[in-house]
Amino acid sequence: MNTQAGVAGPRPAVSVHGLRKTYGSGDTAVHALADISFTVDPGDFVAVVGPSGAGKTTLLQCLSGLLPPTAGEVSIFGDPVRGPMESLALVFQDYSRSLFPWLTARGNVELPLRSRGLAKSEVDERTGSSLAAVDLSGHHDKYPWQMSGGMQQRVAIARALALRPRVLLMDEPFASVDAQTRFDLEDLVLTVWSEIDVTVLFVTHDIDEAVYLSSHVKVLSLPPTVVASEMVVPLARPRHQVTTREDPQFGHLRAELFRRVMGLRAESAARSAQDT
Amino acid sequence: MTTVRQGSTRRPAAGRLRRRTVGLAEKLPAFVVAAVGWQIGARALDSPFLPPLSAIAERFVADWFTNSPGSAFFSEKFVDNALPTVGRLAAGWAVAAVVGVVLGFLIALLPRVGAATDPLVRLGMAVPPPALLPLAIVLFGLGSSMKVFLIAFGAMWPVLVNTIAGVRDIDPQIVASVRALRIDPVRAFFLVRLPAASPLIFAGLRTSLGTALILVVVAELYASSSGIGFVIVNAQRNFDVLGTWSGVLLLGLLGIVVNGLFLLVEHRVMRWHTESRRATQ
Repeated sequence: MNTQAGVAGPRPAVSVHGLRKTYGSGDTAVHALADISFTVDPGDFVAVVGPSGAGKTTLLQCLSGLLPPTAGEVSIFGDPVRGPMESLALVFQDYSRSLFPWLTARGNVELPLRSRGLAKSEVDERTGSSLAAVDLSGHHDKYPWQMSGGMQQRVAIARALALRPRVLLMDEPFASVDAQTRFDLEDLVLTVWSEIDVTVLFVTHDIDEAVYLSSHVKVLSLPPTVVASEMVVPLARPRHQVTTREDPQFGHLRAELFRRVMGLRAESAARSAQDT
Repeated sequence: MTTVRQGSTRRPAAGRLRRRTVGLAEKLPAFVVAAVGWQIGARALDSPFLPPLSAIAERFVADWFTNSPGSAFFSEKFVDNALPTVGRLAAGWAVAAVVGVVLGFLIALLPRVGAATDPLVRLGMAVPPPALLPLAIVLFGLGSSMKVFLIAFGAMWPVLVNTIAGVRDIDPQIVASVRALRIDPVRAFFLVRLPAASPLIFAGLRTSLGTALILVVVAELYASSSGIGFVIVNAQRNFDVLGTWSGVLLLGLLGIVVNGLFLLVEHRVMRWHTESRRATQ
């Protein structure tokens, strides 16, 4: 699958250049993404945050090839994205609508693998190991509606991991689970990320979560969206829900990120006040 | 399958059972009152066209059942007439289901086909299916293929319309998942779109089963030499009032059995749907 990896120096895992997305045309056109450019290094864990209403989901859909951009280019390890890519897997926000409730956990994980014509032994091996990676070994034959929200999202993560992606895109994956489950899932994702060779791009509206998980944060502006600023998160790994969060540095980073995101909202409010 | 039944749904299942027994206890008295009322009313009226229930029941047993050891429980008359009716019903309904689902998917997934065929679908749905009986006779003669055609044609519309609605209503998130996961078209159809649209498809199948039952009887009443419908009209022609009532009763029971079987299958196949809905409420 990844035979051309590692040639000619470090290529960015994700490269976005001049990405623009406009819905409609003429006077009624909506400029969702104005001009987005950034790169993500291989193996990095990058969070994408922004005030609510920033084109986070639009950006993710363009990155995953589900939505054709109006202009600009996205590439994954040098391959331009023209549609859904084999090297990239996506975890949606709403697990209850992205899992297939008529299939078991195993059925959900297997379906994309069987679609690729893999041998039965390979399908079984990948299904077993990816469900084990998300601690669902004993739950292969459960249906989504027999599971808690956290378990369902773990199935969705297992389904993505089983595809052995080089880049994992996650669209606010923990937005609809309770706080306790959310902490568990955050640590689960960090563990998986540290154990396998995958680059993670994690979209969230939660500033704490962005700082806790990531090594780099991209801050999106309100539409027409650009990357307003970037931030490095030099917190030590492995991270820990208690010790990392009580680290004074965590507080500083969190405050700084909060200031930037809120600043964007204030700026936009001032601008619209000026316009009227 | 047993592991599926256990777990979080044990209590609701018990509740369902309790509701069902309560339902039976509520419904039985009305049934008994109607039966007794009929019996008393018929005796009082003493009309040759409204025989007492006891006479109908007696005739019903004599017509359709037998004790003779060679013919497993059912009478020769049953084998010669009820089985053809059931066979035509099953064949016609099966054709309606397959054609309705296939055409429904084509219309729903190809917007231009959908727009072009919309008036045709409306017209086809508006035609009362029994009106096609004379035409069906001209096209297919008096045999079983005519009946199967009539049933298939009439029963197809609810399946077609519901399949179109079911496919168009599929959650866009499901469609996005299929694309993002790069699921191949054949599996996407059989393992994603078909089940995703199935709640509405099943609703259409249920409606069309009722239509099919009506049509098999209509076809047998007017153009047949076998079948329960034929038995009823034949008895009427011979002034055999009890014979018509006995046939009508058998049709009613057949309807109950057929619908019951359908609901049983639907309950099994659609379990994920009822349980998912319960979970989100």
